[in-house]
Amino acid sequence: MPNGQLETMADEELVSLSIKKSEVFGVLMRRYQGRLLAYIRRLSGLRSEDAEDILQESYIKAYLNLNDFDRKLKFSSWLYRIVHNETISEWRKRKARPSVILENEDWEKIKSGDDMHNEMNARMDRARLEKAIDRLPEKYRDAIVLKYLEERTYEEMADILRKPASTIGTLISRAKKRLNKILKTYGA
Amino acid sequence: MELSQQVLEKIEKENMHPSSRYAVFLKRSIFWSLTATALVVGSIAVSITFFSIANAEWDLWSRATGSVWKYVFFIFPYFWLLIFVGFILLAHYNLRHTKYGYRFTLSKVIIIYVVSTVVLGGVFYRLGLGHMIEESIADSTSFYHHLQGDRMMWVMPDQGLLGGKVEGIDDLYNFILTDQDGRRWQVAVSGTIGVEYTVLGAKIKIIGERFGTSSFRAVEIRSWCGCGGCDQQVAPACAHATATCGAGSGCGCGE
Repeated sequence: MPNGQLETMADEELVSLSIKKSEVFGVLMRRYQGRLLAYIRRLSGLRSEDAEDILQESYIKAYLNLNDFDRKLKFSSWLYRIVHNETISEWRKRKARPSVILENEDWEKIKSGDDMHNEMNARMDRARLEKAIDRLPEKYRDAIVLKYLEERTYEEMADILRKPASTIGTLISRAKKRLNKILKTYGA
Repeated sequence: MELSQQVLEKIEKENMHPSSRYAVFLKRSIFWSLTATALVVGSIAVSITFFSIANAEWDLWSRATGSVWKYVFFIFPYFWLLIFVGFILLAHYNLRHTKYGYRFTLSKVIIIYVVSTVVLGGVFYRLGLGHMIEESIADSTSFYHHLQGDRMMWVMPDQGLLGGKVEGIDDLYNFILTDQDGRRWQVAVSGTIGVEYTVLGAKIKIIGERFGTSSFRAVEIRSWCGCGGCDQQVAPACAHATATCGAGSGCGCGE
């Protein structure tokens, strides 16, 4: 099959083809590489090389478990879940508290007037927000990164974090409250 | 080299392949089976609880504990409640590992689990399954009766309560009984209530009084399976009869 044709195919079709032919998996990897590398860095604050190592391991895990992919879910959610778990387990191995790095585009996303920014201190700047997110417990940091930086829906977040959708709503609301409190308390 | 290319090379070099559909199916089935097992064990716990409550010999509270409330706390099946709660958590853990199980909140799992186990436990109770399993646990362990108040009360000879297995019959009014602690008793029957339960090898409950170190005078004999349990054909002493529950005198078996 010509490569151009593969590039236009839906994720789910590519998964079926990848099971038979590993080269096709390359199309899926390229499709998500940029987004997932950014996600790992946002979540962990790791250097690019370390983030690439995590992504490589995640891709191999995803390839080995292609038959476990449930076609009723979005492929991206399934892949994000694998990457998320791999990143978390890497943190735990290193036993180091990750620190969030907000790229310019992330800062723009937050400043662009969504509900989180409205609730935050008007004088908040990027460095303060980075520090405040660093102080958040892991579950709240996950929620903030997925919702505001990865711009995932509640349903997608539920599938990525393997939690009930109702819990996601509570998680985000608590994460925002905690973030506000940290900003006020520490003047982070 | 590009990351995706590196991954593809590693896949080829190490001859990696996606896990087979069968392996995936097996992995999923394990969690579903464990969830189902948790449901069945919970239902057994419920059916044993139902049985304990239905056959609690409420007329004996003053002999056993001296107070109704003490008696309620004494006979409450804590062990099975603990098993029940433990298996709810196990069911939740297993369900979370199934395909969509993570979409259920703990409170939803608890509601579904409780409703299902009460329904299934009710069916088990009617079939006598829970009691049958409890009896085999009691027969094969030496400690189980210490965990269940409704069994422990039948090793209280000083309060006039003794229960166990009929090991030998001298005549209609004298027999030998081994209690749940394995102690042998010479029992003399001084009344006629429930004498029909005194069958060799049967388990019975005796109400009476202790005299001497290992002698007991029986005023009333009851079926081991208790009131309401006789029709379930689970205890040998009751297999021939049906329950007759008399006011004040507990229950007996009628033809």
